[in-house]
Amino acid sequence: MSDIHASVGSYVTHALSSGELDEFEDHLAGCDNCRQDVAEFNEAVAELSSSIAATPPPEIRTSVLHAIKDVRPLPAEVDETEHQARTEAKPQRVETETSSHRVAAGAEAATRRPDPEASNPPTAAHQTHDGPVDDLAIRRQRRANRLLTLAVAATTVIALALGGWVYTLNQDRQAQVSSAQLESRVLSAPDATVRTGVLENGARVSFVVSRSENKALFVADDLPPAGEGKKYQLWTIHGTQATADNLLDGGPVAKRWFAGDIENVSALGVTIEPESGSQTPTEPVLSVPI
Amino acid sequence: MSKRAAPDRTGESTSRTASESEPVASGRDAEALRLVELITLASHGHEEAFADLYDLTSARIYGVIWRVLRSADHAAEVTQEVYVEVWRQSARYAQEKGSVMAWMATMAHRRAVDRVRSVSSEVARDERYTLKNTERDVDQVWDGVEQSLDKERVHVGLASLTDIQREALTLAYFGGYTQSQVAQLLKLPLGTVKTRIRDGLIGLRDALGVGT
Repeated sequence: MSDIHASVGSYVTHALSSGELDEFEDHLAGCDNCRQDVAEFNEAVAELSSSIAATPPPEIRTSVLHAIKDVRPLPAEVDETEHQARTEAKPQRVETETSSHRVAAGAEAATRRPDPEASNPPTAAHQTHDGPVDDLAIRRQRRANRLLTLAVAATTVIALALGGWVYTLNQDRQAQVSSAQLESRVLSAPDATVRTGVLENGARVSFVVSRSENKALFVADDLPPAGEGKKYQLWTIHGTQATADNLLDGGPVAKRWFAGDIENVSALGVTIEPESGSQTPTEPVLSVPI
Repeated sequence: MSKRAAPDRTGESTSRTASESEPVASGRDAEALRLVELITLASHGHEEAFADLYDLTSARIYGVIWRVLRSADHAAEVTQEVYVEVWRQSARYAQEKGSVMAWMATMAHRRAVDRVRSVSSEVARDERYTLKNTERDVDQVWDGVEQSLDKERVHVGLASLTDIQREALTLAYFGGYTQSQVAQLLKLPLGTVKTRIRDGLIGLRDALGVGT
């Protein structure tokens, strides 16, 4: 009986037969060491490619760019059934006006829309009107303003301001710095805004949005776990219709780009759903207008 | 505001404010970041960004594919397939999994190997890697690796990678052989081949300074 770990090299070099591949992939799902090895070996092998680089015939470039015109990039983290649901079925109507929790994310948002909270949902644990909560709204607005001011400098310090993430010198740094680059682009766009809200579980979350960049980022510090068999699900909202978007787990630094177009969206939202995602929200949507 | 795909590379690396915890990015770091930006833009359907991604990566990707297939026609087809797949899967690239280049090179290698195995009856035996040309090509490839290393980093060197490890790794990676086929070619037990391939990758990883 051979040691399955020993096959990791063959796995990376695609030297396993299909039966061996199935066996190893089963093993990989439960072996952190092998997953780490696979990631590192893939990087090492990719380095090899530099020394064997060869300029391809220019026709390939032409045909590639032509071929992609007929193909849309697949959405992220959406399983096939949901992908079909999103592209084929009509989104169902969701009562986001009355059943969702509206969060006054600062004075700007409050003045733009009439107060919809005449019928407060009984389960709302985060009312946003009187007393100390107003201070919270003001602090949030100050924080958003600070972020936007920093955005003018367009440096990666912005990402630090978003949650004090620490940059380290190993491979992780590249991932964090590069995410910061994208975040700084979105924040430095002239129409960039930050909207914050508080979930029922007390988690403070932010949506960083630029319509001109057509991008929105969901951001949360210390996002609690969504729960057994569950994930957080993002939503883009057009009027009263919520369209399913990306899924994510809780974590110390939770971030997820929205996959869908932002340009015509009226609000962004998040709920907790079963881990395979939902076509329509199964609970009231924490939504923030944008 | 014009929607240029991204600030150019020089602009990015010089406009970043250095802070205590963040060293200035080297040229390769800057390129790695650029690739992440481009793949993310591509995932939103930005064809221009994808064209930039192609221009930055196609020589290496085609290099891998051609080395495995040894046929310009097959290499051209597989290269096109790979890039269309990269476009389709662009939203599924995740930084936690590793660099964009590694992600793409793995996909490219996988498809090249699949192609070489399915057409091996068509491609002349001589055009594939055999023990005969392995030696010559091994030297060529690994010499190239050594040269490019010396330019950029100070490392232990490839001394840790033994000849027999290079041989097994070359047959598996560039030859597209399964581990069992490599074992047959080298007349070795399967376990020995597995160990050599794995140890070769460990040596390569350590020599290149991948991981912590």
